[in-house]
Amino acid sequence: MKSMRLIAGILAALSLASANAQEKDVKQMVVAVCSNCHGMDGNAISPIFPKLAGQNKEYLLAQMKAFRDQSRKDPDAHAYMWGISRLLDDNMRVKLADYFSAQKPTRGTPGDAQLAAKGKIIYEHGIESKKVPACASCHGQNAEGNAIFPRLAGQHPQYLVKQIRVFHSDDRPNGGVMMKAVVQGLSEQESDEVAAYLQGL
Amino acid sequence: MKGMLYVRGLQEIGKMPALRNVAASMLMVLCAAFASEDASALPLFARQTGQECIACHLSFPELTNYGRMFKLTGYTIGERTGVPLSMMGIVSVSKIADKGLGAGNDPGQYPKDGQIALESGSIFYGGKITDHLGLFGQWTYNNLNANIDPVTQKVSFNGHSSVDNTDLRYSNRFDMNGKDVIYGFTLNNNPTAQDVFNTTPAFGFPFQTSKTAGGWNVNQSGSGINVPPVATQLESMGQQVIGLGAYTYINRHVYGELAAYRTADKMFSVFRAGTDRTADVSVKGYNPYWRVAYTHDWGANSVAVGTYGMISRVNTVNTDPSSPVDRFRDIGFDAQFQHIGDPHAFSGQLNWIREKQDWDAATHLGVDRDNPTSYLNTFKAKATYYYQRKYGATASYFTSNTSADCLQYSNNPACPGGAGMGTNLADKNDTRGYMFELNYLPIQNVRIALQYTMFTKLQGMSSGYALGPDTVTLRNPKDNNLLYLYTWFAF
Repeated sequence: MKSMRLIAGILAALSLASANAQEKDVKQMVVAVCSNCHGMDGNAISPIFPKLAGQNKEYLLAQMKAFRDQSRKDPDAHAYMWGISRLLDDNMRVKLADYFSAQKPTRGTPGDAQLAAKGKIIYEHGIESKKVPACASCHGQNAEGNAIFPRLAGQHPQYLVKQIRVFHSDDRPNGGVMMKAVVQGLSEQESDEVAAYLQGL
Repeated sequence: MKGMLYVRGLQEIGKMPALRNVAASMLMVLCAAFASEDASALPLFARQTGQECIACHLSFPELTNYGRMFKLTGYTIGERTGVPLSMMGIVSVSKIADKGLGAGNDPGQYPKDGQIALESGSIFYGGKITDHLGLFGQWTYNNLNANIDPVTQKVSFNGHSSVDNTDLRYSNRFDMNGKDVIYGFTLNNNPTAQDVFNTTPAFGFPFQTSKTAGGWNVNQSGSGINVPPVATQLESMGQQVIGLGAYTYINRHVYGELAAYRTADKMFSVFRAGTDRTADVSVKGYNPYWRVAYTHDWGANSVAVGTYGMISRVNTVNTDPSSPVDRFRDIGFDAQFQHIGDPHAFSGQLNWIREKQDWDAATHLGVDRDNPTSYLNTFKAKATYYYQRKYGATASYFTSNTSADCLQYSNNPACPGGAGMGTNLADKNDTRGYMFELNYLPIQNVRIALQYTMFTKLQGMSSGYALGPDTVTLRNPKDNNLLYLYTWFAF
């Protein structure tokens, strides 16, 4: 009986050590690699790089997979993430998604008030005449996102506008196909308005 | 005004008989680059990280924020590559504004004027060794290794290869109660080669200038005069010394570094492999180097402000380590601003160095120096704009000024003891001018550039000066203005 307990204890200790090692691995990856662009806590400073803090786990996983299999091929994905994703195996991708989705997003800086007011209307109600659906219907009333639909609240407006442009192309298949239809009727000005609204959430 | 200069420059290029050849060779480079545009055709670090050159560079060698982090973390991001090598080459043609052929002048002073030159080629090696250890290694073949004939002062070139900037690093990084801490050690063979800000000399601007047409020199055939511009000691010891430094970068705000440099002899000879031992500097003992900088990032912007310096004791006889020493104290102040946006990117840099020179009295006083101490100041400012990281324009200003010393800088007969070879050479070595450059990057690892350098002062002379026996044909600094078309490629 004693020996059984001992074995159980050793297994428990090993399992704990393994969990700690994995936690250490993921932190090491964040510190050594991800943080260079996305920040240690996922709140990226440069608008070239998206904020990842509080982002939905499913969305993060889907994007990391798309970088790895190179199906997402917008210029920045190619320039930055294709290479980095080579370092991320299935297990690490899950760990990273867990890590960044658990980080606290910082509140964004409010954009131009007039633009943001117009953007709020588009976000909540869409533009019926142009067949642009309400963004809130998928991304949530507070732009918190839902599973595969990314959180948009507090995101860099430059990044949002750039992605809307990318959705007009075929560089983001998979989830992007849906967005291609959505942004079809959205003008540059209206993209700016929605982004100005979202950055302040 | 600038536009006019470029138009004039283009017209001058158009007049060159070699133009078609330049275009043809550039086309060949482009074709080769396009034909092999796959992962294996990219430079070493791009293959290691799997990322594009623009991730780390605004335009080589100027580093972005991410590029600085890559260097500070010891070139270790990414995966070790199978063949840790890459290559770089530069092909160019230069044109000097006016050869000024008066009596005694000679076209041999501008030997490659208007001719295509394969300037140099480099092999890069190293990259990631372990998760914490990495190497930036460069070996350069200089096809324009200048030799000045001691009698005729004519310049000729030969090919020569030697070790170039080398930086071996160990680094580590950890999260200290929410603070991002990087620390590391660097073993390098050029003070400031380890620096991540493109303000300091080793990787500072201008990143490329013409070395072919002799435009930076004051020279005259048969006069015994062929004078290159002065440079601070700090930037004159590359590939001759070896230094070990420790550095830290705290919370992406405060950078600090301390290092000590010694002569790269004995077991460190590999760090000066291929250099000319008879010309290599010899320093006494270990010479301190320091660096402090404050950085701040916001949005797409980053700013860095810093100071650095070195005290070096240089043997008066470079082949005799026991000879007396001259002492140099270099103190630099620098600042950098970058906006790395899409499609617009902008950067600006300032760098100022003040060097105090203490000359060994017994060796120099009354021989080749009037004064026991002297100074040399250099200042440079540069602004660069890139659109889509493909089309770029750069403007810069440079100036250097020295204290007056007849024996050191001049042969002016007015100076006591002046040899009287020149007629109105100044007793200072001040140089000042502007540089403009247009860039086009058809693909990320090829840069085509058209550069124009305007001198308003050249080695102490600001207006009509005469050399040697010809006192009728006066030269002006602007006669040395240089047009330089080059293509740079790496794979």
